[in-house]
Amino acid sequence: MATHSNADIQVSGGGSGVGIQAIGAKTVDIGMSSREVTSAEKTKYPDFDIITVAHDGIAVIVNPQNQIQYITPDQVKNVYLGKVTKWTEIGGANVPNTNNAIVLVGRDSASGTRSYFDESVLLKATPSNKMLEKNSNGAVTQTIAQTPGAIGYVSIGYVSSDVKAVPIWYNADKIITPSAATVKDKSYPLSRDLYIITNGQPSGLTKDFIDYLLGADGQKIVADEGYVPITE
Amino acid sequence: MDLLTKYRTAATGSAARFFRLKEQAVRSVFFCTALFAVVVISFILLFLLRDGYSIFETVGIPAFLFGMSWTPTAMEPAYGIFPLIVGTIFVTFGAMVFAVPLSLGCAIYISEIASPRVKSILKPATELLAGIPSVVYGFFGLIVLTTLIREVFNLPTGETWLAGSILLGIMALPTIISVSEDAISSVPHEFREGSLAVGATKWETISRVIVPAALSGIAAAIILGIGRAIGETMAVLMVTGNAAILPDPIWNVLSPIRTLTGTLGIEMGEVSIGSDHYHALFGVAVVLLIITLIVNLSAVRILNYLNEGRTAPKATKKSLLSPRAADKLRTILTYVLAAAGVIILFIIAPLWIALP
Repeated sequence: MATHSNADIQVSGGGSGVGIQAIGAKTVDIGMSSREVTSAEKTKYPDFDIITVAHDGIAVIVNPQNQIQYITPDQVKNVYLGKVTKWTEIGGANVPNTNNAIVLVGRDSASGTRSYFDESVLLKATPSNKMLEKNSNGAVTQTIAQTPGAIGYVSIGYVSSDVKAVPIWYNADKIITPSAATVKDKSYPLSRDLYIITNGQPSGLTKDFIDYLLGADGQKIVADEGYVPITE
Repeated sequence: MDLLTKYRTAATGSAARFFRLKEQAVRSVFFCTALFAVVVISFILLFLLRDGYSIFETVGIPAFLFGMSWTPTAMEPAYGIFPLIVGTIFVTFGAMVFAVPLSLGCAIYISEIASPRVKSILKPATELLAGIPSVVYGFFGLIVLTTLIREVFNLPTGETWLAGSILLGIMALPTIISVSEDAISSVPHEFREGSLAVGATKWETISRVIVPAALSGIAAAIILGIGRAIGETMAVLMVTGNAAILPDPIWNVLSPIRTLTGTLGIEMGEVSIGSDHYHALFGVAVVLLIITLIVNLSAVRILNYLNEGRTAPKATKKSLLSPRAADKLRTILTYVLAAAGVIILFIIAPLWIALP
């Protein structure tokens, strides 16, 4: 901002679809998305220039009352497919003072986080229709924090002290806690990219801004917000 | 030409022309403002249909309306909105079960029983309820109501049909109270005085004279409340859990549920533009609009019917003692009993399910 004191940057929310539509319709200079641009969108807007600005991990979270120590990818999958419905069926998991019923919490079907989760954890299967659907990472965290038997998934940037991020168990030697560090060294497998999109090659102020994001200062902000920088 | 214009025409010729022009200008300005609403609604309908049309073509109207599963981003996407339609109707119905008895009682109390001092507190308080933004209701519901329901009924999650219905019921209260209170207050004084004069008690006056006389206004109030409940999005999607399933068993008010509005609310923001999913959401919006139109049109019908029934024999006052009044009373009693049954369903049934 010091070098472009007259630049005016406005950010608006709405989700990945809105970001992609806005840049497609050229009502903005830069669109942001946490999901890949679909082939339908690429056909509709052939001039998109898609740049990765940060990495993000998806953490599996539960209520802090849950005594679970870790969970295997298979268990997560079976829980979300509705094959496992009680916490007692998962080794080490127990929610005191409840009947141990698992409450599935996920994202709405248009969500970038959901499409990533369904693809890489559920291996493209459709989650149980009993899953409660929330429209933001914050809403998932909120629900998990106040529901003892709940399980959910959010961006690691949204993991707070009100919820417990469950380490993923691959084998006895490989139990990985989701964190910026484990996403960065690629040992935590549930990670994805966050994109910014321009319509055509970026130029002028837009280009300067993207260079700033990809530069040291911009990437420091990425790290400060709990996401993982793309550079070292 | 009305008298005033005639007079002015007589006075001066050019001033009259100016006056007529002015009249015409005013008339066309008002015509345009009146037209505005019609233009807006037709454009909305047009654009919804334009973007939603292709989903009806792709999956077919019966499969869209009566399909049982809504999985728009699955490997093999399914666009069945039947659970969503059912969810919308159930949540709204449940909301009315809470809102109608509560708000009618409140309206009768405010207009017939309360002392002016109590009234001066109650009326602004209910109006204040209408001013609370829906997202605040939703937040209250999410933090307080769902936790309460989860603990009371010992459920895994409190995000249920019941939570949605209670919340929507509260949100519909101010609408129903203020409109039905107006209707009750506008019942002519002679009705009350006449009824009391022939020896009816206060309760008899209220239940057999005033409420029947205000019935069309009360019906309008309830329909406005239904409209408020069907269209509500934010609060509902925060407390109903949004699982696109039919309750199992069907009267299980402790099941998560998903409404048409909730679906639009949570999915519209991130949907991939131009995809089948996008068109399906517009299809959902079309269905929602049609449901609202049906509610509004039936409201007009019901009001006409009630008004005819009330004004035709011009015997509201006399009917106090006539056989027709007894008939009316019997109908009202049946409704009250039916309502009581539904209330029992909503209060006893959850307890019964919750107990193992």
